Amino acid sequence: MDQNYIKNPFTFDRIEFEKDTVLWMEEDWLDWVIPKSQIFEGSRGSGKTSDLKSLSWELVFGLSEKKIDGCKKVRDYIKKPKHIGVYFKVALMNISYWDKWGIDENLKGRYFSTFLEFIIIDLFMNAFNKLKSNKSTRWLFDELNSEYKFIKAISENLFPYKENRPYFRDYTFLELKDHSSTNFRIIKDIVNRNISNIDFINEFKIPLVSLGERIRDLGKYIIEHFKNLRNFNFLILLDDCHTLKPWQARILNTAIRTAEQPFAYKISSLLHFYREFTTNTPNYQLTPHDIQIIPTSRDPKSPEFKKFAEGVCKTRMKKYYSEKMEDIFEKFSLEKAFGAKIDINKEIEKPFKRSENEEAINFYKLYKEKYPDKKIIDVWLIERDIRKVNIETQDKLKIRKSDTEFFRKFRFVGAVDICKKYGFKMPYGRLDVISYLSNGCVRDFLRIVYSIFQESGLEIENFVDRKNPLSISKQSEGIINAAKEKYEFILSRSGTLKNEIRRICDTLGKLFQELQIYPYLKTAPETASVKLNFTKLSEYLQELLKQAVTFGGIEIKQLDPNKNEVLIGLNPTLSPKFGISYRSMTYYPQRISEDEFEKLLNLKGKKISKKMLDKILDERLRKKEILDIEKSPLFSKKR
Amino acid sequence: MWEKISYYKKFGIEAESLRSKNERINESYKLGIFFSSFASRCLTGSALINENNCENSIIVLFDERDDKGLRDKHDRILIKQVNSITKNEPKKINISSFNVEESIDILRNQIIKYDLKYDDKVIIDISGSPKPFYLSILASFRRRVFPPGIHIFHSSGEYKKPSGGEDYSFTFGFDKDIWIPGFWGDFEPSLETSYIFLLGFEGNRVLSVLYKEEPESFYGLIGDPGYFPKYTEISKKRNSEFLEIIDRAFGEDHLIYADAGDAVETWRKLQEKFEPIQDRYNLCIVPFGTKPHAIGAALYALTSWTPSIMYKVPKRYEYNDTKRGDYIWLYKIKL
Repeated sequence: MDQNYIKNPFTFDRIEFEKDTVLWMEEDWLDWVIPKSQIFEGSRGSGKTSDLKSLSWELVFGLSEKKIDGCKKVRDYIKKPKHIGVYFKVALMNISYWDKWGIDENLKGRYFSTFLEFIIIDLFMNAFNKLKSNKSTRWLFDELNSEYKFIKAISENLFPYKENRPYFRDYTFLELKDHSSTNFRIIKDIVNRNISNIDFINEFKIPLVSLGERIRDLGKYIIEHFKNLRNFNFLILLDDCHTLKPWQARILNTAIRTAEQPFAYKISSLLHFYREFTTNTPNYQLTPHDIQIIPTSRDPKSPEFKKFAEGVCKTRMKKYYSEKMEDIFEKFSLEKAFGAKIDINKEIEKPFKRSENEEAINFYKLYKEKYPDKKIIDVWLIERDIRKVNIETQDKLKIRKSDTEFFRKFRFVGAVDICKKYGFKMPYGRLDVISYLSNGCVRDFLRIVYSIFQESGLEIENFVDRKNPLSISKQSEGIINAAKEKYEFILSRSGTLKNEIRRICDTLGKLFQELQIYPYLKTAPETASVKLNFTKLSEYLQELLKQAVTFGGIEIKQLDPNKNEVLIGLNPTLSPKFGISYRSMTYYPQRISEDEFEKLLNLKGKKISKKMLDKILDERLRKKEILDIEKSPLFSKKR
Repeated sequence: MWEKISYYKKFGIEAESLRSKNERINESYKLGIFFSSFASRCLTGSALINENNCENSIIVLFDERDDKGLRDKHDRILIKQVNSITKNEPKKINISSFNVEESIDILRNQIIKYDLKYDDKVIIDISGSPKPFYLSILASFRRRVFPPGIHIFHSSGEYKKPSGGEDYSFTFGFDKDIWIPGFWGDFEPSLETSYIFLLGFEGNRVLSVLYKEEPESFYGLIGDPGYFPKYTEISKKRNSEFLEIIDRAFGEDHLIYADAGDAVETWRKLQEKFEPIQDRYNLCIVPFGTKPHAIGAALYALTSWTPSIMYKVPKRYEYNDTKRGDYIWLYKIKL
């Protein structure tokens, strides 16, 4: 085992793979404990499962090996929680077998609803039983005979016909859990074996329900029989709901729509993969009133993400080092360690001073002599004739304002172009850049910090307690190494699709490398995505691209669901591997046809099609997509 | 002669593993099941059974053909060999290796026709079969009140890297996840999932499952000793990233070692390791390792019906002519 590994606390494995896990939660966690249905959407590694599990009764009541920690408000809430959440991973239901089950579709829907309903009841009865049995939480159920009365009432509701009602000896939570379990297991067996003889199935006398029907009744009985639970919320936490088939998602959506307090559904899905929002009510789709979207990939620009990432880093350090160092770790600040924002002009100037390239030396001399008041990248843009001046307006103020906006937009790709021209390494560093590259995914953030820490060679105390941020060169090396390792990691988990996934990532990387340099950057700055109609791609390529998203190589962002238009870009974490800019794939996408994209990838060939690449690049120059500074809404905003 | 290597008995299942280099199979069987394959080791079992020692036989011919003529050649030889060892006309069935559930139904329906009783014996040569088929047969026999005795024949293989390839690869293309029919498992909603990966040479596939399924915990089973001296070393190298994660996350305790060719030792080790904890996790077995490991895992799963076995059906299998290796194995099982 790598000895350095032990000392580097910024590990980025899945949190479940770690011992003594502590989940760090920020104040927004308190918005999740309310009885409002929510969908947690995000890319892999963004924390969807951790977010859902953090709401589970085991963690909240301290009855798990895993712990929650967080800001003061979170800690205060955990001392007296007011919710009970039950977690379930939807994939356990063997989703694909339901599709194959050869019975009438309506009946299938009823059985699926009943199946999931019994699972949820099983989970709640298990939770109630464990909480009742635990010394610190038994007060929740301490009224005399409350359990008996509750179970009697709910069993009569769940099994309305006496002849079908299972036997209860003592009317306990555990008994109802067992009966629920029996019922969903019977259904599971019938589905797995593809038994379609209805007469045979009916002999089991399973009471069919619509999803959510009995859950609503459960709520009423809880309030009636358990006074200590009267102001509690009950959360149904369903993980990986993007694996549901559309008809199953519709059933779940109907349950979400009809959910009543104190119950609510919290579901998770890979970003853009939970596409079905219709319900079984004709013409009714879930609205923001029914379900709130919680992006787990936090906005990397937001202070909330940086605060969250900082909290996670501190938790990591405390876990790996002695308690005596806790005070030092509490003082840790990402901004102090890395610096806030990169001064790209300053960083680009540095290699010029060292360069022995004659052209570079000449340019630098020109910059110093002719443009003493300008920034070096701005000079580059002027000298390369990339900057387009609107000569129609005489308004000097307008010119100055649009100049500032222009240079700001082109600054990063200007740096890319300079580095490409003179063979410099593109500098990456500072907290802003690290956040952008992580794309709001805390696991990728940790990956980068881990790599920077490795590169720094520092002891943890020196890393944490700094007077000045780490040098850009160290940060840059760490960031580029993290990108390369992420690339290899993606390929290694791609299994038999390794070559195809590699081709997709390399093709996009190569394309954006070209689009972000002269002369193609004259058309638009920072192109980091292609725009096309996803459904017009071949089925094979559609499937491959979805796999590439699953493995974390690329991102697909849906624009207009009616037109099936999407943007396809690299995972930002990979940008440093290709030496490109990374800020957002929505800036200035390159529109290409689906046929061009397929031919460019050239999956059956040995490498990407140079001919198609040249064609796309030529098209870009030929088309009139030159950025109009005057007309662009980006520049017309009033300050 | 056949050397007895292992014996184990648990919850009504009894099994012993025997090993030899070249011994003949002198027993008589009510039914023999043989699978044709690209790998010539699929011909081993039927060549070692004495003439007319199978009352009935099923020859399974998968739809997928190769462009090197391996299947044509092996089909011809297998049919000839099985004809000579079978009293009654062998039944040939053509099934797809990718429509697993439908194909297993066809195979199972054919087996039912032979009205097998408790005293009958069945021999299955698994050397040429993908895992779901023979594992599913085991599950269906286990469900019977009076199952027949089962002998499973397996020829170890001589593995070569595919020409031009870097990896030992036996599969290609998109994996489709299925639960092997009969091994759907019995999940408990409130428990976490734990995966048991049977490791072979296809480390990338292991990682792709790990990162796609994201189980809460997992274990690895490595073949040691292996089929040949460097087997274990290669297997560890091919799974180095996975093993690193196990080491970091869980430690040595999550690694199990069992002879790559001994199904009964594998069963015993899995039983001893997981029986005490199987009520704490929803266990899922993912068999990427050897066929004997898969059989051992199946026997463990059949003692309680709790663990499930997931199989990743590839787009196609590599056209490798894996020849028979040094040893042949016979697993005698009473379910």
